[in-house]
Amino acid sequence: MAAEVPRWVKMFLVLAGLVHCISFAFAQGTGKMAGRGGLSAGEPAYVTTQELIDHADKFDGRKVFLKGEAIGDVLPRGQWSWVNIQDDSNVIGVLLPRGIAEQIVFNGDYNNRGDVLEASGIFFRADPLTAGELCVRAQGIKILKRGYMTFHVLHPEKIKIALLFVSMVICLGALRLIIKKKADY
Amino acid sequence: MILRPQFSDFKVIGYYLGKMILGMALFMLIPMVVSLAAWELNPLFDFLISFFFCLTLGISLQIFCYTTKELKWSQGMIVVSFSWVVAAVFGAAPLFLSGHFNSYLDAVFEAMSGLTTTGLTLAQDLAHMSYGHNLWRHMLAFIGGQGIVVVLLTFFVRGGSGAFRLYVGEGRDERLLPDVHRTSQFIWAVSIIYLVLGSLALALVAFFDGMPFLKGLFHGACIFMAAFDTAGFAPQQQNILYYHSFAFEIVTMIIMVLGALNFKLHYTIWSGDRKEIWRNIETISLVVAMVFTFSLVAVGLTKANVYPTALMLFRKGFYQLLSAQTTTGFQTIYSSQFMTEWNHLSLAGIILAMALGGCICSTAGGIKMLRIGIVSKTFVADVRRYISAELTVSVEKMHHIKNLVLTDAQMRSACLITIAYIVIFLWGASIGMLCGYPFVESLFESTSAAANVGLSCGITAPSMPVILKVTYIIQMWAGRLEFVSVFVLLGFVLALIKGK
Repeated sequence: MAAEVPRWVKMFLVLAGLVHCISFAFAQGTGKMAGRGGLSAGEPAYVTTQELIDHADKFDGRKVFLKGEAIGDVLPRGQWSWVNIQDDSNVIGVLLPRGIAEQIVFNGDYNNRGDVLEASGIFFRADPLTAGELCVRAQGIKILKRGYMTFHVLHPEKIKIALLFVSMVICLGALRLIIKKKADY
Repeated sequence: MILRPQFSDFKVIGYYLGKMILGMALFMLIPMVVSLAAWELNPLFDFLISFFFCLTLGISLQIFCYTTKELKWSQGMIVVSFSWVVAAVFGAAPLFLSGHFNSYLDAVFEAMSGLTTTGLTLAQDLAHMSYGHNLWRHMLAFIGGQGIVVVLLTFFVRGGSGAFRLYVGEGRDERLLPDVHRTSQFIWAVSIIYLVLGSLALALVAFFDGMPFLKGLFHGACIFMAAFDTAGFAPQQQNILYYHSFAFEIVTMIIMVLGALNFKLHYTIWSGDRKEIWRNIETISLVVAMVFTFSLVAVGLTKANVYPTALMLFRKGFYQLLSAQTTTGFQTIYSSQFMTEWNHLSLAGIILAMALGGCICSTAGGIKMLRIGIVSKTFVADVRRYISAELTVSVEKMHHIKNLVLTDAQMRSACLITIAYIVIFLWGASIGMLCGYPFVESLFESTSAAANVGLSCGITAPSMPVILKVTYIIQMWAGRLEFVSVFVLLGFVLALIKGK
């Protein structure tokens, strides 16, 4: 038969849980979590790119978690590769071991939405490895959402407006020719 | 007595503006072809709409304002002033249709920033912008860099006194060849040769840095146009930081310097007189100014211990300074880093470099080196006059392509324009402060706009107040035209109201 848990232990656990909930809510309200809200259990506290840029001295040399879309191109440099990650606030360069960067399939541009990935690594205000770049030297990435090709539907209004202007140009061109012919007479 | 402008004055102005609008339409054919090649249908139709809209208005003005009269001085100046505004308004159309701008005003801001080779941007989500629209942003800088009037003269206006009046109105007073039509053609020929060579050099660097060649060529062409025309736009939001490449930075540095040098100096060097570069008052002033401003930046950054090694100081400190001095506006740091990491001494170096600017008759903005040289010589001459014997007559000389004697009129003109620039820098800074920004930030951004630089400390954003957007548009426009045409336009408006 299992021993009954003492009442004071139960009280302590309930109180600890309450304190944890209150402090979590307070930290979210004041931005101490440096996250963007909506964190689920087990999800790291993400920092935004703009926070990193604005408070570079505070984050310098610290491990950070970033979440954003891979944009542009993966740019290889020897053993490393550069990936630029864009979130709602800004874009930042992330230096990755080349093998890890190969996991990225889609990079964001006009025709593609890039892979949304989570990068974890050390933030450098002026990375000595890259001659002073403000960047994150990532130790690993996790693809949170695979990117995809975007299909742009042509707006029918644009065709109508273009046709309207074409017809106006034809009319004006004809008018100009008539005036010129009259003037020549 | 002020004379009220006649209907015939409006006709002449309208006729030449019509030509300018037709010129803008022609340029839209290039991004149209690019959009078609990349099969970007929405952007293609954005350019088609804008193209036919320009044609409609351009042909209408040609019909209803048809005239055979030659341009007068004042009319030429007004055409030039209006041309830049009209080009920005019409050039903004495809940008606005792209959906990357919050309002038409933001698109006009972008177009004016491009045309005046400033490089401040309000574009959103550049990473997902089409090739066609992105190319157009950079092409605006290329068109504006050579001068809208140079475009007009090259394609639509034959030589003559009217052509020369337009040319001077745009802030260029140096003819390389006997007539301005041939001078305009020469400017375009040189620019296109540099464009091909520079784009290829940048494309090769981008290719070796891991970018596909064709994409690298696109980036190379865009970056070249922005660097040679000292505009500072880039296809990506991070600007030059996007490439993470020292080689790319070095090539852009060379192109920025080429863009900031006097076209006449280019011509003289191309003609075989290489010694001119070491004797010219502008190049000497540029070197002295850069040594001084970089000293401020280097001491400031070393004191702040932001970049601890010499290489870091070169890539971040010197690059930003060169970008400011040549009035390009390329950045290898984030905008807000200027305020969060750079101290006031280093910022003073950057602001001073932006204000001083590049050379006359180049694509650079700012007060410009010839004026700085003349103002310095005037100052030295005055001091010498005070300490010399009363009857001593001193003659001030300078070397600018040839040996010249400095006249009082030249000295007065240089001092006046310098004062006008200082006033416009302070005016923009005051508006910035009225909008709630601190003094240093306001002065930084205002100087950047009025000197057509494009470096930003973070104020320029789609969310900034409308009044500040309008202020910066006016500053970019007035700074690019070097005030004279703007003053004439104000006089024209005054004559409309008070004239008899």
